[in-house]
This record gives sequence, C-alpha cells and structure tokens, in this order.
Amino acid sequence: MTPAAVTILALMAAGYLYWQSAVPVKSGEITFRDVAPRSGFEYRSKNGYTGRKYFPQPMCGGVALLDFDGDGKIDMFLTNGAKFPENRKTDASYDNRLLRNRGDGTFEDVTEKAGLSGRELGFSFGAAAADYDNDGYPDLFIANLGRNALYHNNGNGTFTDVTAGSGLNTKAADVISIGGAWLDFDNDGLLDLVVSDYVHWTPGIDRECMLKGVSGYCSPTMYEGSVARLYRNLGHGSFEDVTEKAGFGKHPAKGMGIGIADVNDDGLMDVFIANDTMRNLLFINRGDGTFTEAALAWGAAFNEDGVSVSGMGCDVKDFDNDGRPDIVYNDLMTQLFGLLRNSGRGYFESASGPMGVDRLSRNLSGWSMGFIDYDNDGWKDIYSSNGDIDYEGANSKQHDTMWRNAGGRKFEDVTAGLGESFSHMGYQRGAAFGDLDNNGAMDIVVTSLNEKPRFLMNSGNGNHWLLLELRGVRSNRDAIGAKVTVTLPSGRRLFNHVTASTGFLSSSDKRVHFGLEAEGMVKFVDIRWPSGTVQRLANVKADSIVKVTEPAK
Amino acid sequence: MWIGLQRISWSAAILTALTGFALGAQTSSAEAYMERGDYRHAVEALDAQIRKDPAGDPEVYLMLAISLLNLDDKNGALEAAERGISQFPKSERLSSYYVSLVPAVVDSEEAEKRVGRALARNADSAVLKKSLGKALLARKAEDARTEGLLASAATAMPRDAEALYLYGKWACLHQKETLCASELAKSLAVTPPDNYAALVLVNGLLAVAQDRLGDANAADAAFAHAVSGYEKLDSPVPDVPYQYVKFLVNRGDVKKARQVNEEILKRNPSFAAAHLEQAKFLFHERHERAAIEESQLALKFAGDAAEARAVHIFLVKAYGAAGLASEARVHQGWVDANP
Repeated sequence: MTPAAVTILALMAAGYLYWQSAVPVKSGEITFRDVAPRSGFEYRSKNGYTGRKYFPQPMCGGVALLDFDGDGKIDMFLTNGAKFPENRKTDASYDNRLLRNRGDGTFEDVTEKAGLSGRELGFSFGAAAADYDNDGYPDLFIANLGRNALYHNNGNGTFTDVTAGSGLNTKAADVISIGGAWLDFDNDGLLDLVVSDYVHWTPGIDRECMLKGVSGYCSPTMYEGSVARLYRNLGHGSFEDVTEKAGFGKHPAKGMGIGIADVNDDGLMDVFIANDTMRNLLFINRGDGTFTEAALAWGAAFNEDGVSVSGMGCDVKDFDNDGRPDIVYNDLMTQLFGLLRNSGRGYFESASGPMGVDRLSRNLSGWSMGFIDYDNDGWKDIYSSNGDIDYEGANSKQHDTMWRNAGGRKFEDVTAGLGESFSHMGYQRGAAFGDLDNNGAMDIVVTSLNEKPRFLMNSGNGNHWLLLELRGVRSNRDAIGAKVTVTLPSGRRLFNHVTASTGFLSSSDKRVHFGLEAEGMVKFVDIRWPSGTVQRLANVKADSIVKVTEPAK
Repeated sequence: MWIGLQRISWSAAILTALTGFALGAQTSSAEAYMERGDYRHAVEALDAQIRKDPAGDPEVYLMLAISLLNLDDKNGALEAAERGISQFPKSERLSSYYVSLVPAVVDSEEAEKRVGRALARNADSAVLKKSLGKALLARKAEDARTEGLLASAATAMPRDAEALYLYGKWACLHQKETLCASELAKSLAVTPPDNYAALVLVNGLLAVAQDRLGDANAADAAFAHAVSGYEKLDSPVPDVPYQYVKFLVNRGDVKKARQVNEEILKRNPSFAAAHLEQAKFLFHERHERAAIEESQLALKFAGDAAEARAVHIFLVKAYGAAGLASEARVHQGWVDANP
C-alpha cells in the first residue's frame, strides 16, 4: 500500500474524509462581486413603509445560510416584513424566500415548494438555521412580531410549520422577537434555542416621533423592554421554556444580536446579547441548567465610558488568535462599535480604541456584522452592514465596511478596494457569511431596506484555507459549540468554534472556516466536541472542505 | 475666552486700550468722575449728555454701560449698550462690548434673541454675526444659520482668533474636518503666544480634526502643543490633556499616556477621569488592588452621577478580578440602582 493510501485510510478511520477539493481561488487583490442579478427571484426586503412610520420598519431583511437539501451547496433564506397596521404579509411581495443554490452562481426560488413563504406570519425579523432534531437536515426558526415559527425540514425540499405544540410559542403576542440562536447549553446532544426579544409593541400603540421637524422612527426607549427567552430542547420536537428557571427572566432586555461561545473555557456555551439602549447581557452557563448574568463583571455591559449604546449586531469569536473568544458589536453613529478582548481572567478589556475600531466606526450605523477571515490570512477581520435608521441627513445612506485585521495589532479599513458591489450605498441590514461557491473564500449575503439583496462573491486571493463540516454523534449533530484548534506546520495556531449565530437578524454557514495564508497543509486539527470528546486529525490537506464525524465512544 | 466682560476701574487710557477709541470733549466731566471711581456722578453726567444729544457720540453709551456695570447694575448696563446700538448700529466697538455683556446679564436663549435683534439692525456687523453664531453653536449647532454667520465673521475678521476658532469648531461638529483643521490653523496663527487657554483649546480641537483626517502624527503634535499650554496655565483645565491620554492609549502608546495622565494628576489632583484612567492602567498591568485604590479616588472626586457610574462599573470588574465578590456586588448594586 502506498503511503498516500495509508494516510487516506487512516484519515477515514479517524472519522473524517475530504468531501471536496475545490479549485484554488485566483491570486491577487480581493473583490466582492454581486451575483444576485443573475438569478430571477422576486425578493426585495419590504418593510411596509407607505408614509406612516411604524417603529419596527427599520429592521427588515434577515438572512440565514443553510444547506437545506444536503447537496453540499449553501442555500439562503431571506425574511421579509409585513403591511402595517395589519401586521400581515398581505401579498407575495412580503413573502420570506428560500433560494436554492444551483451551484453555477445562480439561485432558484423554491419558496412555494418548500412552504416557507410565511404568509401566515406577521413581520419577520431574524432567522436561525440548525438541525434541532438531529435528522441531518437543517430546520428554521423565524423570529416575528406576533407568533414565532419553527419549520421542520422534511428532507425532501419541503418544510412543515411545527410551531404549534413545540413549546416555542410562549412569548406575549405583543413582543417583537428579533432573532434566535441555537446552542446546546446542557450538552445533552439536543440543540436548545435562545431568542432575543426586543420590546412590547403593536401597531396600535405605535407612537409618532418628530426628528428635526419631520416624522421619524421613535427610539426604543419609548417602549417597554422584554427579556431574552431560553428554550430547552426536550427531544421529539418539544421545547420547554426555561427562561425563568435558567435565570434569563430576571434581566430586562431589548435584545438584538446574539453571540454564542464558551467565554470562560469551561466546556459550556455562554450567551452574549447586544441590547438596544440598554446594557448588554452576558449569560455565563453554570452547567446546572442555570446562568449567571455577568456582563457587568466581565466588562461587557456598557461601553468604555459606562454608557449604554444602541447595540445591534454582534459576534463572539477569537480575533487575536489567543484561543479565547472575544466580542464585537456594532451600534449607531457616534456611539462607536465595541471590541472586547477576552483577558482569560474572567473579564473583557476594551480593545476598541487600541485596535482602531473607535476611529473607524465613528460615522457608521451598523446592523449585521461579525468576524470573518475574508482574505484567508488566518486573522479574523470585521465586516459590518451599515446605514442609518432612516434618512436623517447626508450620511444616512452608508456602505458596508470591511476592516482587515492586521496581525492582531490593528484593524484597517480596506472597504475601498473591495469593489463597487461591496460599496453599495443604502440602508444595509441583515448579513450572513458563508462559502456559497465552496472555493474557500468567504462570501457575504446582505439585505438592504426596500432593495434587492446582494450576494457578494469573494474573488479570493490565492491564500490557503480549510473548511470543516463537523457532524456530532454524541453531541448535537450540527456540532454547535465544538471548538477547533488548527496547528500549522509553522507552529501557528488558529482557533474557531461552531456557531451559526452572527450579526443581526442573521445566521451564517455553520461550517468552520480557517484561512491558512501561505501554508498548504494543516499539521493538526484538534476538536473538542460538546460531548467532551477530544479528537485530533493530523496532516490535513489545505484548500479542502473536510467532513469530520465525532468518534463514537 | 478671548473677550471677557469689561468690569473695570475707569481710566481713559484703559478704555482706549480696550476699545480702541479715544474720548471726545463732551465726556470730559464724566471721565473725571470715572477716573476717581465716582461712577454714580459719572452716570448722571453721561445721562445728561445723552439727553442733550442722543445721536452725538457712541462713546457716551459705552462709558455709561461701563459705569453702570461698576455700580453692579447689569441690566442698566445692558440697556445703555442697547440704546447705544440702536443709535449707532454700525459701531463695531459698541457691538463688541455689547456681545460681551449680554451673556453675563441674560440667559443664553434671551441673549441669542437680543443679539439677533441687534444684527437685524446692523446686518453687516461681523462682531454680531460672530456673537450670534457662537450662541447658536452652543445651543443648537444644527441651526442652519450658524454656518453662514460664522463663515462670514471668520472671513470679515481674519485676525480674530475666536471667530476663526468658532468657524473651525462648527466645521468639526459637521464632519468637515479639512475645513476645521484649516480654520483652526488660521486661528492659531493669530492667537497671542501667551494666551495659553486659547492655545490649549484650539490645539485640542485641531488634534481631533487631524486624528479624524487620519494624520495621527499631526494630531499628536497638536495635542502636545495643547499640553504644553496646559502646563503654563495658572488655573489648568485638564479636559484637552485628558483627551490626549485617550488618544495615546488608542495609538498604543501607553507609556506616554501614563506620563501625560500623571502630569494631569499633579496639576489637577481632583480630576476624577484621570484617576479612573490611572486605575485602568494599573488594572491592565494586573495590579488589581492598586487599581481599586486609585478608582476609589476617582469615585471621591466624581463630579456627577455619570462620572460616578463609570467608576462603579469599573469597580465591579476590578473587585471581581481581585476575587472580592462581595465588594463587587456592592458596586453592582449601585449600578443596578442607577440605570
């Protein structure tokens, strides 16, 4: 037997295989090109504005990236608004949409077949995809004004609304739910769900606010806040609302983005919630079904000046490659985005100033966002979808921004070089990351208020990469919460973990992405599964999408 | 800043120096009273002079206003200046005195109205434009009139450091950093080298503009000039040097930031923000206990609830990191009770 064959067998025996060895991306400068116009779908985000400004309208256009049909190509689901004051999707222009990736750079609208138009729902906000029943097909949770919805993926291109009887419909009817995030907080192999609820609001209590003499959207301070809700997955499609039991219910929230990570490295997933005009929340998982809200003690509740901001999107990942997940969140103009470095000592230190985030974010109003290694150099960069709440002057329409992580020392704005599609001016909202063409360069799907979305394909730059698709066995099948450490031949170590929850209203490709820069081989891939199982893969080929199955013990 | 309220003991020489004009013959008796400090008789003489010839000489109104002010009759002084302005709307000297007097007598909203009325009578007055623009900038920077007023004043008075500063400040507030930096540079060029307060203020704002323009070295230089002025002030105001500390921290120059911060603490030992910053330096170096002691000083000197809140928030983290959970809870309780 040849050494190569031995290696392949050894790898297969270890529980993983190369799923695809993609064509290397081209060298050179990275640009993002919008390929959405190539596809003939009808979706444009529609917030229902017809002259009267209703409070939730600025928050329209969620994105979830998922491979719903298991063909290895990432598809997308886009949420949409509703007509007010009815809060109903009165015609197809308000429909949520499922777009199937054909693999040729075009996307096919399969909403009707899938049964995902959401016509029975009100205004939809965020979407979160995950395989909550471990059947191998990602399901969808949709956060709405009115009832939330859980759609079970039947595995044949159709979904069934299974909300009734699932136990997920425990929120008050007048609460706006912004988004959801899947996690296995009790490591029982079943994905649980945290939902960020925002404020109590109905069209009937909507207030009219004047800004600079014209009608404008009211601040969330005008409405009563809610709490984040936690649902424990009991199996068989049934969830228990453990909001009070787990300790979430004691903490007022006007929740927006949700970040999931094990911030204190105890093997349990913690929850960060960016709040709008209230302190942020950090729920530290105690491992007994309860959480301690510790944002203040961890230095994550307020900005550096001790002030609450209009927190929007967030992400919790390791940007400085020290093995500890850090926090980034965005907010509105002049508030300055927050970048918090995990000290490893039970608190975060503000890195916004030293890393340049303060200066870069001064004139931006950000919505979805997150860490993304767009240039495959092994350092996670920061993307933000931007645009003010509404037209409020010259700088209201904004473009997305990409801040390149310069070796963990500073973030620098590289937006201008990323091409015309990337710099589209508008009111950008939802955004999710994923490798839509499986070339190892992370792409971005972005919605903009009352416009067509953009599917921004990353040209790549020739750097090496690795995508890991983890499949849990004892752990939840999506392996959400699994921690991955990649060691390169140079000795360089990179860190990431499995989560789809990024940004605002959005849910990203759950595959774990690593940029490897010039290194064409990975010496070790170390995986700590949520079950506690530790797995090591050796000599993994770069530029590959590798499926790894959790070893059965 | 540049123009203070003139409440002075009288002498013709001082008035000439302050206002740039000499006394006329008809004011000689009043002048004699004023030189003796007999402002009551001076007022009588000046009133008589005005009754006799109200349109004779703007200086009479100015002297009357100054005399009344020295008698602690602020409203009377203001009225005298306004009477003078209505008689002599083109007198920039009267206008100058008037705009320095108004804010000391009435609230800012009323001051804005009064200066606006004066400007309506003398639409070309650069002094009044500057004054109204300044009032608007302070009270409602978004007012559409502000830019025109300040731009016009800055153009008409190219050697008026305050006019140039105000226009630069307006530009900075409206994200027009290039214009801001340019106007502030002009302002600095005509600011007397011993006007340290002005040098601190203008250089501080210039530094902010340069930083926003991405020229960190120019910003650093401007901040350094500001700190140099700060070190010469008899009554030092630490805000701009403190901004320099934050700037240096953001540049990653923690060593220099600490030096500047320690200088602030020497000169302004009751400045809470610098104590909190010092505590953060100590905390970052893992000296949790020392950081806690320092932040207690910040708490002691905190001027308002917002400042105190920032310290309490820091103390929750610092006590927690030091393993002093019960103390952390005390401060958490304060924060929770003061949302």
